[in-house]
Order: sequence, then structure tokens, then C-alpha cells
Amino acid sequence: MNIEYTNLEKVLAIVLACLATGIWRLIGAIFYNKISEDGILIKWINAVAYSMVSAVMMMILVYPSGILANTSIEHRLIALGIGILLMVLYGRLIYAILISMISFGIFVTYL
Amino acid sequence: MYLKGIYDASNVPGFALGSTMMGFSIIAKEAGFNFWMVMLTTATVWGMPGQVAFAGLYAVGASLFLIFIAVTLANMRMMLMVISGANILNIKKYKLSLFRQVIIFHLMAITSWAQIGHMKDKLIDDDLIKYYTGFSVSIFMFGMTGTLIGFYIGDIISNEILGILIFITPLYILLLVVNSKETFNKISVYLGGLLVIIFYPIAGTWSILISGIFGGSIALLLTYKLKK
Repeated sequence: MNIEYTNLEKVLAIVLACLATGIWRLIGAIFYNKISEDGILIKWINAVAYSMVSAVMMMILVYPSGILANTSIEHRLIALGIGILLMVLYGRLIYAILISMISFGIFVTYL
Repeated sequence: MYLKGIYDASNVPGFALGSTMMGFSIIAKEAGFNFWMVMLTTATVWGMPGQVAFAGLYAVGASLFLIFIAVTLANMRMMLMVISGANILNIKKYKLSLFRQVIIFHLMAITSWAQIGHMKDKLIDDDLIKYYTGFSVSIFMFGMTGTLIGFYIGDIISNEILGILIFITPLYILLLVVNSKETFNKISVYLGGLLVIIFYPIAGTWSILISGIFGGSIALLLTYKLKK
């Protein structure tokens, strides 16, 4: 489902997305020798950031729009589960991605 | 050292990032981005979770405010990466202007940050910053090329293959964050992922913010309680 944004909104969206990331880089550059990496505030910010990144990715996988919506949710989640299991057990990102991706390909093609 | 950075980037890191950006580009095109929006987003945001959050929310017609908040929160860890990266590179020593530092840190993505962490004991400071420059600029080029290819590849390959390519991006990011060193971050990842499944049917795209705040706060509290 694509909802039309005006041209101005499109430009604004990109500027805001750029600022939203740049602001953290700028704060990091200004304060890198002043902010403690072990403080509670930083830990909370980090935890919320991780949680949100995960939420966005799960939203894409569980409630997708477009082409991914034509695949089955079971296939997506089982393939993801395989990847996470391999990652937790062996900690090798590249193998976890490859095996999970191949599993998903097999599910989509043959099941 | 610049060349060594370029050479190292032109292996697995460059191709992995290129494929991920290809996945982003396909997602973004599907979301309604035109060519310039996709290329500009990769070039100016240069932070995968935020880029995907942007495209994901744009696809469902979310407000610009929510897009801003979601991208801000999704790429918040850039600050920590910059703090940590600046220390690894010993940036203070070079007395660079803030503008030059911002340029240097703009190129800092998860891949290049992880790479300098891996190389820091193998190279001296002066070599490390040259290595980082070569590596991060090359990774950026791979990312831009992946974005460019991704935008057009959709017209020539089947929907099944496209589905798999789109699947790689959230998979890659989830596997990356699930492997976080700290326990509370790991718990945050699991909680955020579970909570959004519950909240999305009720709260729509706001579920991202709700899941992020609840997931992260509960994870931190749980970790402190368990430590005591």
C-alpha cells in the first residue's frame, strides 16, 4: 500500500532522515571524550535503540507489504529462527545469513 | 595503508554491504521511493536500520514526525559507534576540525567500525586512520553501487528471487543485533521483536516507538534485577 506524499514532503522526509542520523554522529563527534560509555543513560538509550531496530525489522517480517507479503509468514519466521539459532550457537554471521537465506529460498520455491 | 583498507573492503565486507543495500533499494522502491530518493537516502543517512525504518514507515504512509522519531531512535547507536570509533582511531591526536570529523564519522557504518576494532592491535595510529579512510570510502562505494543495482534489478528478476533479496536485509540486521555483546541489549532485541507483533495490530506504526521504549526499559530493569 503506497500512500502519496507531496514532493515537498518527500524532500522533507529525506532531510529529516538525514538529520535524524547526522545528529547522533555530531553529538558523538562533539562529546566523544566527555560521554561515559558505561553510564546508565547511555545504556538505556542503547537498549531502546536495539529494541526499536528489532521492532522495525520484525514489523517488516511479520506484517510486510509488497512482494514479501506474497510469501508465507511461517516460512519467514522459520528461516529467521534458523538464522538466530545458528547465530546464538556458533556466532558466525555469514554462515547464519547464508543458511537462513537458502532455507527461505527452499521454502519459497518448494513448499 | 589506504590501499590495504581498499583491498580488505573489496572482499566479504564490501559484497555483504552491497547486497544489503541492494535489499534496501528494493524495499524502498516498493515503498514508493524514486531513484533520487533511494540514492540520496543511502548517501546521506548511511545507517541501514534507520534507512529500512524510513522505507518501512514511508510505505505505510506514516507521518513525517514519526519517520523522524523512528530514524532518530533506530540510528541512535551511531553516537556510541562514533564515541567508540573516535577512541579506537585516537582522533583527538590529529586536532581535526569538527567538519572533518563529521565527514570521517559519516562514513562510519557497522562494518567499518567493526573492522577498525578488529585491526586496532595490528596497526599503529597513523596507519589505522589511513586504513580506515581507504576501507570506509570503499565500503561507501560498495553501498552506493548496491543501492543503484537494487533499484533496477527488480525489473529483470523474478518475484521469488526479489522476495529472498528483500528478506536478507531484516534478517541481516536482526542477526547482527541479536549477537550484541551486552545481555541487556540482547534481551531488548528479543523483547522489541515480540512486543511489536502484539502492538502493531492495535497501534500501527506507533508500535515501533512503544515496543522500543518498553522493550529497552524492561530489558535494562530485568538485567539490573537479575544482577542484584
